[in-house]
Amino acid sequence: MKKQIAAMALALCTIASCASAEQAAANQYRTWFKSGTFFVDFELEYKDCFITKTIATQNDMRMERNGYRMKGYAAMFGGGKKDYPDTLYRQGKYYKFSTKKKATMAAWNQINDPNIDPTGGWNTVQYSLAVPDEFAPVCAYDAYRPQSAAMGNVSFVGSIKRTIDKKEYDCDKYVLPLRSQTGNVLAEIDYYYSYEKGKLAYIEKVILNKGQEYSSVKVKIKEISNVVPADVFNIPQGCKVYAVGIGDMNDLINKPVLVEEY
Amino acid sequence: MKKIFTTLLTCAALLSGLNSASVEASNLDTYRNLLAKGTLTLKYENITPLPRATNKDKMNFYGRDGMALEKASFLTNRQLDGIVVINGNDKYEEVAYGEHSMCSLSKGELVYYFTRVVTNKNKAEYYGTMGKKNQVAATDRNMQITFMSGESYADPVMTRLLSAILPASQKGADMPDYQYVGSGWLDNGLNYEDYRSNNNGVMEAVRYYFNGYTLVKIAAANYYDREDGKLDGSKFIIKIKEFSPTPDMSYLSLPVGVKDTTKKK
Repeated sequence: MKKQIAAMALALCTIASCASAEQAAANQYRTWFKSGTFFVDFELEYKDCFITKTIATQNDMRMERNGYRMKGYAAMFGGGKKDYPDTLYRQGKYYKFSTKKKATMAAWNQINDPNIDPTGGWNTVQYSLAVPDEFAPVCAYDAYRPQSAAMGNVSFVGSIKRTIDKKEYDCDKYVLPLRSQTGNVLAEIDYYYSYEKGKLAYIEKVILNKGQEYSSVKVKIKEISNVVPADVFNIPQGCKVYAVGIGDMNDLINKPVLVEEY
Repeated sequence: MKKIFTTLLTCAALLSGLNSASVEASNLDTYRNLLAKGTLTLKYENITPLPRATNKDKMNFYGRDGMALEKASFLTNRQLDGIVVINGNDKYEEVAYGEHSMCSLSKGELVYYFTRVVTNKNKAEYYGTMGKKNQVAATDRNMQITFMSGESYADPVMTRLLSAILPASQKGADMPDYQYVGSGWLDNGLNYEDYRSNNNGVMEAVRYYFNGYTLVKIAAANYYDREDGKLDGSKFIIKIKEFSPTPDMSYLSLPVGVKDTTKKK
């Protein structure tokens, strides 16, 4: 009898823990991402390197700034942060910065021009501005992210405890199916959102196929906010902006045209 | 142009319909099974002219012999030589252009990317992603892309034309969907199977050529409307040198003399 009661209690506990609601902050993040005004700062951890990324958007402007650091090495330049974007969309124009003083610009209607400089990667410029799919549970749709028919809808599974680097976190688990052309599930993406003091601290993504888990990227969240610093969309002082080559004479003789100067 | 293409396709479909009775079980089934099973050795030449790389393509005669055309080591329109070897979760892919090769070796969840350069002394040198001679380090394989876009088979053209024959239930919903059109015999003794697709405004016709039961060539053509309203298109020609069910195991480990510098977690 005692055993039965214990079993029932255990079962109830399990059900209760599975059915527990997702963290309150998740909805807050959802609202911010949907509002079109947000600032996200995060670090992606790969096998041999870290990639830091900042994405901000406000008033139909979008910027992205990134950094690369090999594992085992301190951040270069004493960890100093770039104070200019790598990619920027502003007033119908895309800017790609090669240095703080030099950028190339393409108008939105030039992106699909068949003569646009094919080495510039302009056909995917908007993807570098996208909020990555690791954020799908709180940012289901992003206009800059490539749309995929294979990626189904995200569903919340339940809350668990998850240990990252010997520390235990409250964690929300989400599932997203990857579908074939006939609709069957080819694989499943499990997202683990780990929270610390009510704030999102880590996102882990795991690909699951035929019972085998493939660990994927780990994202360390530094900041998610709806307060966007005023200067992130600024083009730095002294920056020269050149027009993208579209196979015209200036392009052929390798003399890009200066179109904006700050 | 569009009308001509449509008429040609219709004729091809009708002709193949008449002849289809003469070809028995699909020759492609053998190859479809090999791809699904994941044990194969494939060697081919992609003789499709390369797409435009820069806006200055006409000045493409570079390489270590400069403008000396007769001995230029890097000319346009030379074929790409491809190798694909798969054995379960291990895969080797290579695309060679003359003496320069881009290679990748996948071992389970890890993948090594490296290039091979054959020197003047006919000696192979390998460079990993960090650019150090004969040192390569593995990175994590992007399994999400593999499940969404299917396996890659060396170059993008080969990947698309081989993925085309896989059943829809094994292909990600974003991949192009190809339908069987028909099959038949040609005057030169080869037989063929035709497939076509119409995805996102790109119409493509693919023909797989067989000598008996052996796949010997793949030819494809596609066309689409550009944003400025003009019609554009491309052609692709692949010569199959070997497509066998036995994986050549010598490709599935790092080349001799190459050091694995992958960091252990």
